[in-house]
Order: sequence, then structure tokens, then C-alpha cells
Amino acid sequence: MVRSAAKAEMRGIEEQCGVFQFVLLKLAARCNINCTYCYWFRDTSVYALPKILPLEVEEKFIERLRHHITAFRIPSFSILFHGGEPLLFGKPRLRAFCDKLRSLEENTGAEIRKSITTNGILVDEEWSQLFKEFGISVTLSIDGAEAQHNLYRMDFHGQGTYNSVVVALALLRKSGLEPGVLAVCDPNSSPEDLCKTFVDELGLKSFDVLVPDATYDDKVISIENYYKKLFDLWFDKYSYMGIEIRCVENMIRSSMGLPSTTKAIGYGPLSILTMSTDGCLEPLDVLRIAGSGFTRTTYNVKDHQFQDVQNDPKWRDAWHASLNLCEICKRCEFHDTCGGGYLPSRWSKQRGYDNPSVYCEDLKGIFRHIQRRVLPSLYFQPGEMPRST
Amino acid sequence: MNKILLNALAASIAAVSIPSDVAVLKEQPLRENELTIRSSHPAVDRLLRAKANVEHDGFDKSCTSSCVNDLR
Repeated sequence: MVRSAAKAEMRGIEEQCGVFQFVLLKLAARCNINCTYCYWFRDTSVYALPKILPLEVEEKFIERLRHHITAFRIPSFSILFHGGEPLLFGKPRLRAFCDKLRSLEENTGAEIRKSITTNGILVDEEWSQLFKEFGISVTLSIDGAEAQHNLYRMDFHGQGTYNSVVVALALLRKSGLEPGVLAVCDPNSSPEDLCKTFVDELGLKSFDVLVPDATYDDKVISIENYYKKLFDLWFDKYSYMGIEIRCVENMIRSSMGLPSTTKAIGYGPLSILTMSTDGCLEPLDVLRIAGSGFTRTTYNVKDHQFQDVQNDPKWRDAWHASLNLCEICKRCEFHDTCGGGYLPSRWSKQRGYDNPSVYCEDLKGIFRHIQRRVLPSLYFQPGEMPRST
Repeated sequence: MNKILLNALAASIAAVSIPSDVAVLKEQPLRENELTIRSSHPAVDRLLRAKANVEHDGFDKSCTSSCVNDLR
């Protein structure tokens, strides 16, 4: 009786929160470079985690994933291998892990999509072949031009890592892989220089420029002018060359009421599960910038199914906040477009998530600019107009 | 559809010549599922016409990035 009541309660939670179809999986808790701005090591509790995912946790993860896919009849599940630096996991371990995932696909009939975000330092031909063999999508972190990249992304000797990541890009391409590229916006830098480097020098066809992670307890630099310029560059020039800039396209998509492809832009529920190297099941990874150990829950893959974490107060707080915006946002003309901003950017020690984004005024300025420029181009498709009878 | 855009589009209807058989739209509230909106900008038009593709696009979907603290 008690068990069936608990089951019914769990079903209720799943109906509200949704079934996970994506996990950000920490293969390594450490990194081989020393970026000045890293969100991960801002949470000092990560130093207490296993340096790489232990085999027993990996096996438990596979077991839980099998249950999850079967129980919820999931046709497609996505795993993002993450760190720290995920390549510290090593080739033999990742190969063995992917073999297990392949068996799981064969046994369940589900597709398991795999991707990895890396700084590129360790990428060699063997890694590239491994990614290709298992169909792992690769994302490289490059912050723009060499000087810009080396300003923030340096090794433990203070040396810039630009040359290494450019070598990684070439190696991946040699294996027939075209990685996605993520840059972090430096509001003081030039989006023109970034686009020139990415498009003209590196030949990228698509990339993203991420808003720097910040809470109300940080000093933020305005991002408005940077993203307005980036939008203009795309709108007036690079879009005609077939270049995709994900953040810009998502800002347009959400301005039009279309769903965004990232959690950083647009309104919608928190749906990402994170698993740490010790098996701890956590909400959105970047929320750890709210404080050391902030994302830790009492749920662990060793003892719990994935969905169980939705019972954790921290997970539920984050999920609730992702849908219930503050009063300022509720009254805002950009409520749906912005969605209150990226969840970590709403956090303050004083008011929790009950804030608009720390970038609120910037975002409003950016969305107004985009709408002002896009609106004159819009028209109705005459042939598809509804006809009166 | 974003309310601002919808209002702007409704206003644009009033400003252009509309065939008589669709003029009824002027008197009726616009309903989202009745509209096909296009853009003369090719890339924006591609975004409008694309099906809601929120699937994996090869990127780090979670947007893990950086902290602003140490940006110099």
C-alpha cells in the first residue's frame, strides 16, 4: 500500500517535471589547464570528488540508464561527456564505456547520442578516430583570436593554449569530424575579431558565444553592446555566408515564439540532469557558481534511479524557479522571449532565484535591437493565408 | 508567437492592400495557428520555416561556460 502510494507520487512528479532525456556526465573532476574564469573550480567542493569517474560508478550509471530507457520507453537519450577535462578519463576507459553504451543500444533499441566538450589539449589522431568510431559529437572551447583566447585559457605555467586547440581542430577535421566551437563572451573584446578568426582563419561554419556565468553576487560587465554588434555582423554579413551563430539564432527564435535550443535563452522548464564523478545526481551544472557544494543533492546513482533526484529539495527549487519567474519578469514584455534569463544568472544570496537575470537590462536592450531589425523583414505568405468561406 | 511581433504584424495587415477574400482577418482576432510568417531575410526565413528543432545539434547544450568574476 505504502509502496503503491509512493509509486503514484513518483508518477505525479514525473508528469510535472518530465522524464530526463539528457545527462551531463562528469568523466573527470580535474582539468589539465587553468582557465582564469572556470565556473567548475569556483566550487571548491569539486576537489573532494574522485578525479575520474570510478568504474563502479560507471557500471551503476549504465545499469540505471538501462532501467531508465526501458521503464520510460525512451527512443533517444543524449549523454554529454564533460569535466573538468573529460579526456583525462583516458582512451581505454572511454572506449570500454562506449562499448557498453553500444550494447545498451542493441539491447533496448534506443539511440544513445553522445557528445563531448573538450579543451582540445589532449586530442590526437587516436582520440579523433575514437570519436568517429562511436559517433561522438565534439565541441571545442575556443575564445576567439589567439591573443584573446590566451588571455583566459592558459596552462598551469601561464602559457596560452590557442596553438594546441587549433592543432586539435585540424586533427579532428583530418578524421572527417567538424566540431562545434564554444567561445565565452568577453564584453570588452571585439565581436568583429572573433568572427574574423572563426570564419576567415579557422573556417568554422557554426559556433556559439556564451554569456559569462554570473550571479547577483558577482560584478558583471554589460554584454548589451557586444551581442548587438554580434547580431548585426550575423544579420548583415555572416548569415549570407551560411554561418550559424547559435546564440544569435536562438535569440531570434525565441523572439519569434519558437523554442530555443539551449537553456540559456527562452522560457522553459529545467530538464538537464548532471552526474558528478562520485555518482551524485545534480541539477544544472552551472548552478554551482551560487556557492561551494550548491548543486549537491542527497541522491546518488549508486542508490537511486535518475528520476528520483526530482524529489530532492534543491532540484525541485531549481525546477520550480525555471518555470516561476519573479514579479518583474512576469510583467515584462520579454517574458517568453527571455524566460527570465539563464537560471544561475537569477541567483542572489539575499533572494534566491526570485530575481530577473543579472543581465536583465542588457537582455532587454538586445531583444529590442533584434526585433527592431528583424520586424521590417517579416511578411505573410500570401498563398497560405486563411481564406474566408 | 511573441505578442510584440503579433501586434506589429496585425498593424502591418492594416497598412497593406489585402485581397477581399482574406479581408475578414482585419476584423477578427489573429490566431497563431492560422498564420504563416516569412522573412525577406534568407537566414531569418530559414529559422522561421525550420521545424522546432530542439534536438542535439552537436553543441554543449547545457551552456556550461565560465564565471564572470575573473574576466579582466
